[in-house]
Amino acid sequence: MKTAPPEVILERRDPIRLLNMSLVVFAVVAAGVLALQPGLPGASLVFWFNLMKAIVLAMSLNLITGYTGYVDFGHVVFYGLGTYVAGIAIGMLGLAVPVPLWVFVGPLLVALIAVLVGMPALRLRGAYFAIAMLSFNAATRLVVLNLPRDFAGGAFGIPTPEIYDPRTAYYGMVGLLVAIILVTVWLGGSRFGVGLKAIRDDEGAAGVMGIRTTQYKLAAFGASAYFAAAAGSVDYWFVAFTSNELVFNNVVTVEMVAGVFLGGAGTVVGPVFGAGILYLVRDFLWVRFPFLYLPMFGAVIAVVVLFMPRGIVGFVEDHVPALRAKIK
Amino acid sequence: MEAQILVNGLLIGGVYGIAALGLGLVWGVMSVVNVAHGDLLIFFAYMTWALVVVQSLPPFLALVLLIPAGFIIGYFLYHLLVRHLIHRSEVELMSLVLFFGLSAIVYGFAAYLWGSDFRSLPIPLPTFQVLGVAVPGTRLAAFLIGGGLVLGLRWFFRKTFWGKAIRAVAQSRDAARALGIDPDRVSAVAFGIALAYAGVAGALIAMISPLSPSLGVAYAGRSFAVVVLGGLGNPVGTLVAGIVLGLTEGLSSLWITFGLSPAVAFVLLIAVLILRPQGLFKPVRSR
Amino acid sequence: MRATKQAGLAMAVSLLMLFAACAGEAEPGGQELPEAPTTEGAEPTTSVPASTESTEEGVELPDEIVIGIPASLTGQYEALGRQGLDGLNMFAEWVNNERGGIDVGGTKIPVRIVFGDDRSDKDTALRLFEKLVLEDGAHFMFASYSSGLTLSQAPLADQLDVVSMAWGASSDDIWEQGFTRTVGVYTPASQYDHSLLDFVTAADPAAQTVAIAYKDDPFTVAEAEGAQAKAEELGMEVVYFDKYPAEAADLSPILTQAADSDPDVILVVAHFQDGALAARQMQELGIDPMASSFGSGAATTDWWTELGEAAQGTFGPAQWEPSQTVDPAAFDTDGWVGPQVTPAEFSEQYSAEFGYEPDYRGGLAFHAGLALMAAIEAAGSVDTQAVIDAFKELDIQTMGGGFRVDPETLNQVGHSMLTIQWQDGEKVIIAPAESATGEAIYPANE
Repeated sequence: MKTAPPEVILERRDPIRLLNMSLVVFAVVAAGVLALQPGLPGASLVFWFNLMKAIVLAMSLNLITGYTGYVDFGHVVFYGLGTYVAGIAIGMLGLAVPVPLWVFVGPLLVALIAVLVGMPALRLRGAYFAIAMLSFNAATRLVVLNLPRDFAGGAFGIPTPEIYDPRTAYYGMVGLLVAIILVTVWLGGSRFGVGLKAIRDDEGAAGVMGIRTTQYKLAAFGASAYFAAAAGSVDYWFVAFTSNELVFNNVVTVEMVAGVFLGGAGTVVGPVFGAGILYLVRDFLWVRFPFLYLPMFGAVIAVVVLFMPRGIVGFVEDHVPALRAKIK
Repeated sequence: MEAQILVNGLLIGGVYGIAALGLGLVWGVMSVVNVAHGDLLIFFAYMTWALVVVQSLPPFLALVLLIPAGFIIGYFLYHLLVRHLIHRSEVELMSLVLFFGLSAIVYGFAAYLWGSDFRSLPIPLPTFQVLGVAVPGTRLAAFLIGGGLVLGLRWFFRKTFWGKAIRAVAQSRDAARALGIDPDRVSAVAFGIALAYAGVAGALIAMISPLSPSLGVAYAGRSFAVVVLGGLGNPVGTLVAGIVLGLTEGLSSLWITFGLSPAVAFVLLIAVLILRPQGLFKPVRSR
Repeated sequence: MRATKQAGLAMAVSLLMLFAACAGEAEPGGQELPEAPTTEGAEPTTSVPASTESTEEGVELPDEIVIGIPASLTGQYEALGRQGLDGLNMFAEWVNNERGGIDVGGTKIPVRIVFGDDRSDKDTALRLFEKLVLEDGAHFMFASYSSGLTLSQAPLADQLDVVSMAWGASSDDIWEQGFTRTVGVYTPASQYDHSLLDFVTAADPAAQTVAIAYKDDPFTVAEAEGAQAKAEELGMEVVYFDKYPAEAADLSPILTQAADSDPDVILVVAHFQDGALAARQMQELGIDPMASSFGSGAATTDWWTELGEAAQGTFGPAQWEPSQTVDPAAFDTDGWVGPQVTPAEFSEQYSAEFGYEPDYRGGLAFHAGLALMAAIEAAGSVDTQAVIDAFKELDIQTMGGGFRVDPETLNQVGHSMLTIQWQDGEKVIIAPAESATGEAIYPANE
């Protein structure tokens, strides 16, 4: 991906653009509602919820990784903290906040944590940032595990069966998906987004050009953490349970990273494609080949990496000229 | 008791060091982040188990056999997969995704081939007492083998043609090519060496610990920490970092709680990264 | 311009994926999918496949009873999950071949097992649980192995209104949440080490101190705290009580400290591979108390074959043992359910079929199948509420031991726990006294 051409900035209030945005919202909501109509094949609440969750998580990682080039190996920490922010407030402290409100407000605390962590961490470059975040996730998991049990549940986690309402939580995830798509689309055409991409291409040069790189990176990191945490909070609402051993799982990070790069980093559709296809492939193989799906899944990923170096979006641009014209 | 804990930490730290070496070597030389490293370690550990228990070989012979086996696997893995990535601008990131796929393949096959029950070798060497401290012979041997091979790698980098070629490629593939070195051949050899070390590490893990396919996760996490602390591909630095990690884990059980011991190590890692982003030791590509 | 196009593309993609997924999942025959039941008023009904037959009472009965199990075939619970699947398959084979199916109000209905791999992962386990019920038409479910996964599936079982047999979970807190569809099978974790401690205090009044090192995971924490409470109740002093993290690769620091407190008994409350590591390291470090126990992994057959000498004299808690004796007179009592075989005979058939000897996971998966069968037959219906009500009344014995649940919580209260000790390659049941198959070697360090 090259830096977006400057004329994008001028088009911010383009009516076609607004129309497109509202179409996206409409499509996601329609898809979300349609998917749940009884009688339709595949009307599986958990299936669609997890698919949307995978897409939201990949898109949240894309906000920092795709736009600034900082690869976060520990991004699942924000998702895990998101489940705990909801679990502690609702299940343990019994705050008198409506659940549907808190699952979107609570994650702001996680975004704050991300900004504080980002201040030192975002000074690291490349793989060192990735490994620092990997360690941050591991350390956070253990710290949460060792918090007092009547505060964070210890090894038992926090079950709160009384808030269990997966149907409503499902629409919470639809809303979150719409929100992150809108933010990402806005980012693609905004001055802020162009600044972030300048940081990705050459951070030093971006600084010289007058972009306040530190603030830009922290803002992107905070937003990225907010969406991952909100996915966690809504997931907590969906299953009414969080447990240490289940929500700080590195495999989730790897799936986010794989989703972003398979689809195409720094694009709107890339993570949607990548995470969605990864999820469907895994689901397909896992249902049909319970003993050997893992090697097959790995082979699919390897083939895509080897033959589609710039992800699916890049592959389409390179090999389908008709579409390339449309994308550009 | 403190002496016992220090000895334990020192001995396991040597294994942490050699387990991480292969990861740091490919990362430092060709910017390839091998997230399948932990699974490969456990794969080699299971091969050790198969050689010792099924084929009835002595454990240390199995270890020696895994050196060429690991080298060959690594050499071909480079030509089969890694070579296609190495020229791309985002090698680190794409290799991450590629090796994530490889990790699923290796893990899946290990679980399929060897089942998921835990496996364990007979303890090869007895324990002896030194000044009231129990020194498990197997762990001491693992430490000495690991340390010896680490020093061997240092000698290899400094004194041999191939070692110098690998360092040249780590600094700049283009400059190396200008000097008449084929970066692909050199990288393939480096990858082979990395997996040969992973083979040795796998054999040592099999000797000191019962195996399960999921054990790869425990070693992978530590390997990343050790690699960063020790400088990418720096043999001595990696060994020292492994020992620091082993000692930290042991001491944190004394001072805080063992339940938090990995967190202490990770906090240490984060602190080092922020204060000294290049690690405590020079990576292979410097100088 | 590019962003707007991409947004359009995103929309197209999401729709495309929707339809692709729908097409991929359409079952031949287009099975009707039940909407999740609404709460009040509506009588919950189980999902009924398209073709049905009627009994005299006019209740719709399915052609076959489908039992689903999200088995952990990969991931951290892989070895244990496999036994659940094999044990359950063996149950289905037995009930179909020997009895022609489950007798529901006079109609024999064969049993079919549907399964998948939950990867020992929460999201997959939930998705699979739901898929087995909604897409594969499971009438009854076995939960995933492990307390954490069973607990995360419990609200879903309530919502889908399907019985979930907790054949692989024993953490007490699952049954403290008010779930109404999750049925306990195992003796609760908090009681795992009770019979060992009873035995030690009875055999050796001089044994005063116990050190407990436990893995920080829900099942083992419950077990360790139960053991701690029991030891104090028996007047023993708990001289060391600390935990180790799941990712520990070396347990020597905690073992060294436990040994330093000079205990008579060391309890390592472990899961599996970690218990084996602890046993090896204790041998290497020369830590050799009067008795040492290593948690539920020590009851697996592998414990001896893999550890050999390091396993000699070790104790462990077991829910069930192939060597467990059964009084043949019990076969003819009213409460006996299932094949009239001893655990040893069962184990022989199991080994012949699957190529390995079962431990309590395999044995009790079969046992849970029998209990489910008994509840369905007592209810005379496959209706979830009727079967749950039947479970509350059920008090049976099988080759797997006793089965009775607390009607309030559905937690298991009728099953009793064994303590085994490895003696020269033999797993000997040493406690409780009425089940013992041999004398304990105690102190084990002589």
